[in-house]
Order: sequence, then C-alpha cells, then structure tokens
Amino acid sequence: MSRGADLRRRLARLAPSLRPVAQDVLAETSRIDVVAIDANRAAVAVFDGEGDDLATFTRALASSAWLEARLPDWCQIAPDLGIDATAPVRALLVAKSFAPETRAAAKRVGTSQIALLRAATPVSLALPHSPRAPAPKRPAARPQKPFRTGLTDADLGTGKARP
Amino acid sequence: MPRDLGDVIDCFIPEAALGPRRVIGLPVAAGDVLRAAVAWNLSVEISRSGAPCTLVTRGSPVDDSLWPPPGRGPLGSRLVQARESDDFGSCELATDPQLVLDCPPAETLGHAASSPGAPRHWLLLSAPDPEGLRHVHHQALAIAAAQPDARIGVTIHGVRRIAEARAAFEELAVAVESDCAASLASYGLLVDDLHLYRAIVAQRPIGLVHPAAPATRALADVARLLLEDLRDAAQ
Repeated sequence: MSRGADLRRRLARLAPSLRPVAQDVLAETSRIDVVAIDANRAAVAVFDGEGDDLATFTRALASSAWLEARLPDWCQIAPDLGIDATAPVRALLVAKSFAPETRAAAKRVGTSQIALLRAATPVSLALPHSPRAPAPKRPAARPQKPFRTGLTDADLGTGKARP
Repeated sequence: MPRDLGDVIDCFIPEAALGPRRVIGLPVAAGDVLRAAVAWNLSVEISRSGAPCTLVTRGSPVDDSLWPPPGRGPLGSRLVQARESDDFGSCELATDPQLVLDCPPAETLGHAASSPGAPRHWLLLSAPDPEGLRHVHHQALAIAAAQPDARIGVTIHGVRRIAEARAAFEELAVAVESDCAASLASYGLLVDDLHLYRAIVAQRPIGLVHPAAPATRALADVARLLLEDLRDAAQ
C-alpha cells in the first residue's frame, strides 16, 4: 500500500470531516500524500509526518503553495470536486508525535497555513493524585495560556477568608 | 399594562458591547444532565452580566427532559430547541441576541465543528479526573482538526480547590498543545456544590435561587471571563 493510500485510510478515522480527492500527487519535486477538501471547500494538503517531521513540515509548506497555484486549473478540469479555488490551501501533518522544533515552527507560521494532528493512541493524562493510574512524570512544560480565575479558595468555601 | 422583566431588562443591565452576534459552542452529550444544567445556568448568568444570551439545544426529543421548556427565561435569557440537523445560525431565533450558546450533541462534535457556519469559539467542560481530561482532550483535537483557527476554551468542573483546577487545566492544555497547534484558553472552574444539583432538579437557575453559593460565584466568574474575551475580540 502506498504512503498516500495508507494515510487516506487513516484519515477516515482521524479527520472524518476531510474528503480525500487524490493521493500521491506529484508536486514540485516530491509527492503530496493526500489532497483533501474540508467542510468549507478549501483544499488541504495532508502529509504523513512520521520520521523527519521538520523536513516534512518544510515540504508541506512548499507543496501547499505549489498546489494553491494550480487549484484554478484543477477546478477547470474537475469542477465536480467542489473545491473553492479562492480559499488558501492549508497543510496538515499527521504523526504519532512531533519534535519541539516542528511544533514551534507550526505555531510561528500559524494554523491558517499548517496544522499538526497527532495520530496516537489515547495519551495518558493521568494526574499525579489519581488513585487509578500510576503517576507519570509530568512534563515541566507550561501551557501557552495560563489558568485563569478571579476566585480564591475562600470563595469556594475551602480556604481561608479574604483579609 | 404589566410587563415581564424580560421585556425591560435592557433598561437595567448595561449592554455588554460585544459587537456582532457571537456564537459559542458547548457540546452536551445525550443524557448529560450536568453539562446541560451548567449550559443553561451559564446562559442566565451571562444574561445577568449584560449580554442577553440565547441557549440553543440540539438534542433529540428524548433529551427534552434535560432542558427547561423553550422560550423566554430569567433575566433576558432564552432557550430555543433546534434539530441536530439544523444548520448553525439557521434555527429560528425570536429575537436577535448578542450571544448564542449553541449546544450540539457531543457524540457528533467533529461533524458539528466542520458544519458550515459552525461556532468558531468553543467552551468545553472537563472533570479533573484522567477520564474526564482524556475525553475533553479528544474533543479539543476534533475541533482543532475541523477548525484550526477555532478558539477553544476549557472550564474545569467538579473541583473543590483552585489548585486542583489549575493542575487539571495545565495538564490538559500541555497535552493538546503537544498534539496540535491549538492552545487552550482557560475559563475558570466550577465547584462541586450541592446547590447546583438541586438547581438541576428544580430547573431554577442557581444564580437566582442561591446567589451566595460557591457554585454561583464560580459560574459568575466563568461568565465574566467569557464576556471579557468577547469584548476584547470585538475591539
């Protein structure tokens, strides 16, 4: 089974809202694993990101730009596909995990250009105090956006009253 | 001629100035009484804060018992029943509310998020336990896959201490960030409060029945955070 065919099969489960229309499409110098259409009729270039995901990331950006320039031609040849040729092409990388540099690069470029989709088995989200699961080492990472509340434990009736 | 408070509430509550109509998605699974009650109480609390809020339910007929009767609710809030198949924004709204809290079935969230006109702003309710976090983690990924630019917010419910809610949110947010480029926004916490469950049974908003209860304070804080973000986005 080709790389594109395998990814196309997995996409049906991972991202059912995407409608694959082509696989193993030859772009400038390499292949786009799957070309799909999202719910807004925009084209999405999907890549299997296993292995060197940072290299695939670069390839995905280049190939989606290649695809975007050719969409009006695709629409002439196959108008039944229903692609909105005016919508920007987005790239989607699918992998079990992504390197920190790839994640940082994706954040920098923005989700309107490229998105990362982790196709892993359900991740462990056990909390350290969970009685049902062994306590994994929590990563030292902090989320990009902080936890917010205007309350104190006193407001919840579980702490000292406000001074 | 006697007037209902809902008719004149705008005269007493300052307008929230949110700009064009905003729609926030809040998935509720079939039979999920807790999320349904939180959604309805939140719509009332948001209305009390100055943004008349319409709650749109999308359950099947068997789920009708989850929700109060459709129509005008307290403090300018409103409840509209739509079919699951109705397009977002196409359901009949008797008024033109500033804010709509739309509750698609959680079971078909991926489909709902990829529907035309789907909300671009989502609020997910997560319990702090591993199963609850895992469930909402998958919901966030489903939304992010359908809408890479969606704003996804999370409220941690069923906690007793703020540290517990903070730890759960950070755990979840880091996991989602490592899986996709989406970053979660925090919308506070909701406490495990007996009053909330009593309000569910009585179908009376907790903010009116128990205004000083911890659950009411927490709900008001969630409404405040949501409205602050919407105001910021409108500017």
